[in-house]
Amino acid sequence: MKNGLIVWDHNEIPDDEIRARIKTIQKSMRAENLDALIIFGDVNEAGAVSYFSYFAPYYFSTALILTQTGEGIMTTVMAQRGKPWIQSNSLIQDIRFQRNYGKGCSDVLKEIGLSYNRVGIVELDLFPYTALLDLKKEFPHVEFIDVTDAINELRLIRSPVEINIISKAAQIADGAIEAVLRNWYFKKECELAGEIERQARYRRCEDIFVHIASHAPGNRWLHLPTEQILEQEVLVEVMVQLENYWAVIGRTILPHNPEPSLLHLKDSVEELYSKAIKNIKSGVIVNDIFQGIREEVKNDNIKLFSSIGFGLYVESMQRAWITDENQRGFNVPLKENMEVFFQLGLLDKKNYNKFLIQDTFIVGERETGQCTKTQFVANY
Amino acid sequence: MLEEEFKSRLERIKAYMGEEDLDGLLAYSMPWRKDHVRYIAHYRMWGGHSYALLSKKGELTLFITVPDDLERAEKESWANKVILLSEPWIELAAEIKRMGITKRLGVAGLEFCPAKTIANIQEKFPRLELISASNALIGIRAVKSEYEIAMMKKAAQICDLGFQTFLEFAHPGIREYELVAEVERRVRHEGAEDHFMLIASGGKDTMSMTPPKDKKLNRGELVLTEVTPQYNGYWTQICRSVAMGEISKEMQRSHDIFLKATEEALKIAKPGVPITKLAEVQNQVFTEEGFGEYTSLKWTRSRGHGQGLHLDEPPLIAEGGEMVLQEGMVIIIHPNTYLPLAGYMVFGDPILLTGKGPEILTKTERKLFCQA
Repeated sequence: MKNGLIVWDHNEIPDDEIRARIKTIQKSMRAENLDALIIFGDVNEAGAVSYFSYFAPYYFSTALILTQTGEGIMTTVMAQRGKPWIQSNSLIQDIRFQRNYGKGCSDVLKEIGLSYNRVGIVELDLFPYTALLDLKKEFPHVEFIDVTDAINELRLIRSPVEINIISKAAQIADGAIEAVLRNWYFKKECELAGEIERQARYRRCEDIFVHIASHAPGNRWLHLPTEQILEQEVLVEVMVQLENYWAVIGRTILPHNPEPSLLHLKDSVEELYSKAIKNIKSGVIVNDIFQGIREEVKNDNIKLFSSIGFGLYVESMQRAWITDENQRGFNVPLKENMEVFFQLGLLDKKNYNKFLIQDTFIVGERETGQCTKTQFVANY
Repeated sequence: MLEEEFKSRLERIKAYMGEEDLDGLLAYSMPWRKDHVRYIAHYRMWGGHSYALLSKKGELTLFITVPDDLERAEKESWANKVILLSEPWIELAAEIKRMGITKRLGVAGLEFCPAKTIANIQEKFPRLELISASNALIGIRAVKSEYEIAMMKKAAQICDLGFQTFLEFAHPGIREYELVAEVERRVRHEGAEDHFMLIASGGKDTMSMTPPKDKKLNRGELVLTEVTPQYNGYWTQICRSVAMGEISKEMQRSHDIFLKATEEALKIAKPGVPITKLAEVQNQVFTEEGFGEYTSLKWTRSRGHGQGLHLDEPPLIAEGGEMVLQEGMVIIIHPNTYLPLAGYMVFGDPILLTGKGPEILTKTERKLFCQA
């Protein structure tokens, strides 16, 4: 939950960085004869709105509406009392408050006027059903076009400013994990999660997800923390958001006297992981990375978990992934300055031993940079 | 107990489906609205999107989007089958067809369900009528079972402990986000699976609460909070205000109005009472004290609301509200608003409506706190 610090440091992210993003997309809008762009955002997917405004109003459904010129208008279902808060954090100062999301969008479109009858929608797949009905009813002759891919393409390549914040988010994730390792008193999953969250929030993170798995047959792989007692090895995934940008780390914390079978699994994961991350570089197709891993894991008793995320759709956990039974790959090439979360884990189906490593990277042309730095293994 | 709970929910939902002549019910959930699917399928969703499809015969299929969670979903949920979605509209459509849902499909969460999912179902089944089942399902959920009340009582205990920590750390010099971090740790420690928290600190210019800011707490200010933990699916909330250093006359007068307003509401909070009355008696107190205008939408949203699997669910306690209080409902009465006396102030507790009257679920003292 977004219970952390939401603040815009103008020194870290200059206004001009956001304005340049808007200008880039406005140029495309003119080329495509789009009257307006409706950028949808809610608590599940706030990234696109934040990218062009530096702020998404928390859990309230919001649209940032851009025209071919100017800085845009934000309409939100949040109460009007939130206006000073939004204005203090956002580049967008023209904010409208309308409880009915569809009506909020319609009102703005009416006000700006439509010459080409063409409106782009970002995140059309996620756009609320009834709001889209309202828009289509109000503007029967307007063509609503899904432009999500074009925006994502823009967002996927990180600027130096963005990379700097991602690195800071990674430091927070590292710091939170390392702090709990230094002071290990945890008996239950929820206690461990609570302390990681506290550590990350003290380091000024905006949002955080913690997923845990310990040695119990009931919940074998990463899950939301429960009151379950921690036993044996503990897998921890920490996803940290700082000023709209995410970094992810996953580590396995071993007991002091690990069984030989667990140590063997650890060695296997470390070897596979080291090989795989060498392929995280510009020009490599994501599916090819997975294919290489799959070929190396051909043991019926071992379950494979691997995923790649790109720093978009983090809240809704959309990633390219493979397990033994399923595969959903992104048939896309990695590009320079893309952010990549790479996870690799193995589970021994016989004795429930498990081991996981996950890190955040920035893809380089020749050399890829690893943002999260905590050592692979730790003991409690 | 969970088996009985499932049977009971299923019976109620099937009765509704019969009344509406539905041959299927689809519930949609996402991280901010995990409630619909949780109620039907007992699935504690992780992230992404989830759907639960219930046939007239009672067959239940759960759809999830997080692959890592498949095994747990299969183990914990009440669904007969769990499907990992790759393209929601394809797999959902296949299951709708297999279950023989051809005439009317109720959709709980239709209003925020992704347009593409619905559009593709409509395209695939042009004769299938889709109706919103959101209000109906929330209505069914409004009266809590014995199991649900037990969960909410535990959540209320965590509210108390969370506020205790808030009080312990609310000292001049601590920053708002640091204070929230301490409360967050505590409620998690006590078993909360999630937590929602708003905060504000300052003087008469404080107009509302937000997530925490960078601001330090100062002597002479008021610091306000809503601590809202979720335990085993169920949310409850406590609202309190704390004076930093000493309680000024204006702060106390302001709080007295809030206290009186909630006491008046508690006096009449019984099964059978229209929800509007709960708002009217509270607003009356503000009006009698000369602050009637601060009960309007310009300054505040409501005089409270229901709680359960969503943290802010009907009934909304507002004038004109049509619902009638029923035994087993859990609501929070909080007249949170801005007053020029001391700025925005909050005060409220979760209430279980019993046949004998309201039972306050939290134990924290009902007063304006002061922290030196």
